[in-house]
Amino acid sequence: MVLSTVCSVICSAKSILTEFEEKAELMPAGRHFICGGYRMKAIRWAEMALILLFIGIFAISSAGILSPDRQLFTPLKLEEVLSIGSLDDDLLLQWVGVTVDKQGFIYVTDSLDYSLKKFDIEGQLVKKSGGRGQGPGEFMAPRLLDSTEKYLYATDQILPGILVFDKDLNFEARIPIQEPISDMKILGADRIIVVPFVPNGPNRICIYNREGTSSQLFTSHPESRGLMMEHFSFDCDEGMNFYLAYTFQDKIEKYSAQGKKIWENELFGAKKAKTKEIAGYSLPVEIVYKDVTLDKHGNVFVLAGNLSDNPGRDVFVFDSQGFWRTTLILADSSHCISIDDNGYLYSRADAGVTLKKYKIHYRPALH
Amino acid sequence: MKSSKKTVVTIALSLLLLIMVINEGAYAEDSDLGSCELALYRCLYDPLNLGTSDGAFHCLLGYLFCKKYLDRI
Repeated sequence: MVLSTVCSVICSAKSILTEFEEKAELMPAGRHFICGGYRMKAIRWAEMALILLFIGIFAISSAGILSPDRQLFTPLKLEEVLSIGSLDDDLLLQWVGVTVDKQGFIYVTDSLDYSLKKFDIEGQLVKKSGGRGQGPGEFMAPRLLDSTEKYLYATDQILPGILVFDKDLNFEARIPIQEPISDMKILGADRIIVVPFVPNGPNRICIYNREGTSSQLFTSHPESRGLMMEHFSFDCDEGMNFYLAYTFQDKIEKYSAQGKKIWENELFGAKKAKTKEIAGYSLPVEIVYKDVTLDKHGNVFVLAGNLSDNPGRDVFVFDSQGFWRTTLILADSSHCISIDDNGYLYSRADAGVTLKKYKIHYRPALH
Repeated sequence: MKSSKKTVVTIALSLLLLIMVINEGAYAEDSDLGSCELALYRCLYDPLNLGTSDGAFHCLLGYLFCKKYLDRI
């Protein structure tokens, strides 16, 4: 609509200038406001200036600089407010998954001691549960973690299904899902969004209920671009729009719940990740995007990998329409980022021994 | 009977030893593999996984975890 408006204005301006030019040609020389031979040049310059002005207004408005909505809630910087675990203690050995509840309690899965841990808002360990095994509440390889108001949901790379715990880390149930889970998001007890691990072929997004019954929401791409190439991390907003950041491709996409692509972005000129032949398989060896998450304002935070200037530390921030807003830099390389409802970002440091909590400072609201 | 059983066991053990020696030789040649790639290589050539689609699947799953969570970049 903006484009058609601008085009019609430009056309009107051109016709007005053309009319003026024709009239100027017919006027006696003495009545021209500009002397002699400079008359036509002045008209041409005015024409060019008007066209450039409107193109500039169009470009600026498209970039969102003038749009007041897009200026609000743009992240400006990260301020570290808490650090849990260090090389000098064994609070965390190699944490993998993290989630935070509304009260600010931080929960992590720790792969080296097969545990689920709960920390308070000050970073003090409140409780630890789990242990190595295949019994109820035990882990062989704890990985992803998410939560609702009442429960925690954890995955295991070796054991099928999703383990459900209460907020006191007591094991409640196992949701039977046979496929290994690549990424997940819990929207409710019966709305568990899962991306199964599919090494060769298009990836699909499925929704499960607590009984383990699933239905497929959509498939990201009908064709596979190679082994592991279609793997992605995802997050979704309240409107069930999905944001996909591909692990081995320079591609970030937004889809509606019906599977319609809304926009696509690439930060590195669609550069391809390096591949290597390993035991007869051609596999990508460079990670392009490590993780994606949303804040409560709808900003999309993407943690970049090998191709970025600061690998594993650059966090590119987009608005919900895919326009780049800013780039934040973490203190240390991380495998994931997570944002809670209170505007805090969590990431890793010291190769998984430390969990960092940052306050996200936003651009002040306009008055 | 006993001698044929002995023969079969000897052949099986020899084959296993041969596979292990070949694998070790292969690692030595391909020295530019990263740690995750090397772990994948060993996983795929593990006698329990060798030639099985399930084995390859779990090796690739482990490779993904390694690249995302463990590989220092």
